[in-house]
Amino acid sequence: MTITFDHVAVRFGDLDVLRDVSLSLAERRIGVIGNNGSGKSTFARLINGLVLPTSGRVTVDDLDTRRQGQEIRKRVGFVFQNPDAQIVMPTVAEDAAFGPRAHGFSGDEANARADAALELFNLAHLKHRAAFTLSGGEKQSLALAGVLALDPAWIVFDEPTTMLDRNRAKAAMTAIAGLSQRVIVVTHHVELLAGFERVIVLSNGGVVCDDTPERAIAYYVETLT
Amino acid sequence: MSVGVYQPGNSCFHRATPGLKLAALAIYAVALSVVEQFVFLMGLSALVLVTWQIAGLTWAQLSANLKPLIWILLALFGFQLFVAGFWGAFDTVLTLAALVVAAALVSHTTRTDDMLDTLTATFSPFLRFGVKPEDAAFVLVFTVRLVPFVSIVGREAIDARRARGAGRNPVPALVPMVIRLMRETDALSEAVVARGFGRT
Repeated sequence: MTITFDHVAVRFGDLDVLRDVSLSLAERRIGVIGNNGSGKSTFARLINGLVLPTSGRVTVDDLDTRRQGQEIRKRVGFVFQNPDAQIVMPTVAEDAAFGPRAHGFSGDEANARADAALELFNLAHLKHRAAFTLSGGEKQSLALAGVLALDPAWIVFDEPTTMLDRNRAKAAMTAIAGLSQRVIVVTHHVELLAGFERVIVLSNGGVVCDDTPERAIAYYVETLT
Repeated sequence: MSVGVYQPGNSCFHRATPGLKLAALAIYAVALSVVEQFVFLMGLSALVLVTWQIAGLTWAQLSANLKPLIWILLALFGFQLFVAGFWGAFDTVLTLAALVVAAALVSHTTRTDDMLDTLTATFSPFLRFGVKPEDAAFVLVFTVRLVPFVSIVGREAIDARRARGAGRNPVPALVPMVIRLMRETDALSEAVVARGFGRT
């Protein structure tokens, strides 16, 4: 299970968002840090084909994001910064089943997967509630349950704790730590990356450090903050 | 209270197929627009209230569905009062309110998934004209998801103006509201794709 960036560049208009990034990701816990505008979110979105490279290629288990995005999105779940933006169906149960249905599972199978994922996050008793009436923490859990209903091999988190208070941020990180999936967390909260195996530092669209968390975080703190 | 969101139940309306409910809604809408005698309009309005009760839905849910429309209904009533007189205005407002309640009755008693399957099957003959049935069905169903969302964004835009000393006039809040809605819907469409819908 490997994600590969091969000379990837992304340009939006005149702006170089990422420049010639080449690396291979296979560790179970990977952190991506950098200041605002460093290209972190674009880096994350490249992994499941939400953003396509202007040049170069991104592959997940040899599948090209440019041509096999749908298959890749079954393997790579994505949790957005704002859970409100991730909830697409009116009720909790329907939202959790959305991913499996979109990937072609039958109604019964999709509902079974959704029920199991909701059970995992103690949301089963809320399954008929209107999703937009949930609390912030419950919405975050629902966003994660919706992704886990597909049982992806990888989950990418884009700034998972930015909109949460300290307690919820802690709970979110505990939930992330307990996942059996490979995880990539994009953040500028370096304290969230304790226990990770690898941390990549981005600056001005390029990889400026790729090392153990201790060394990479030290580089980030000393050089970029 | 959740506008238009499925409410679990076991009434005959919950058990009826979405296709049957949509057909009944279409017939009801046509009937509302063609009746001319006031007594029939009252009868049709009463009918939707009776069916609301039979479906096991509450009056609070009914009021939650009509509440966001109050200002529109009042404005419409005021306009029609000048154009068509009291009974004409009453007729127009009652017709619109009855139609909204009937549509809410369908959405409250129908699972979104079942609605999606029915609409996808309904749109499938248009495949030959380049219409993707799943996409067309999803757009319609997704609109229900956006109703409370638009209402929240609108309220926050007005509150943001009031917090800085502006009055309750909602018109100047329209521009920031539309900009934010465009941004948020962009994020939502990205999430829809990320979760497996649509593009390859």
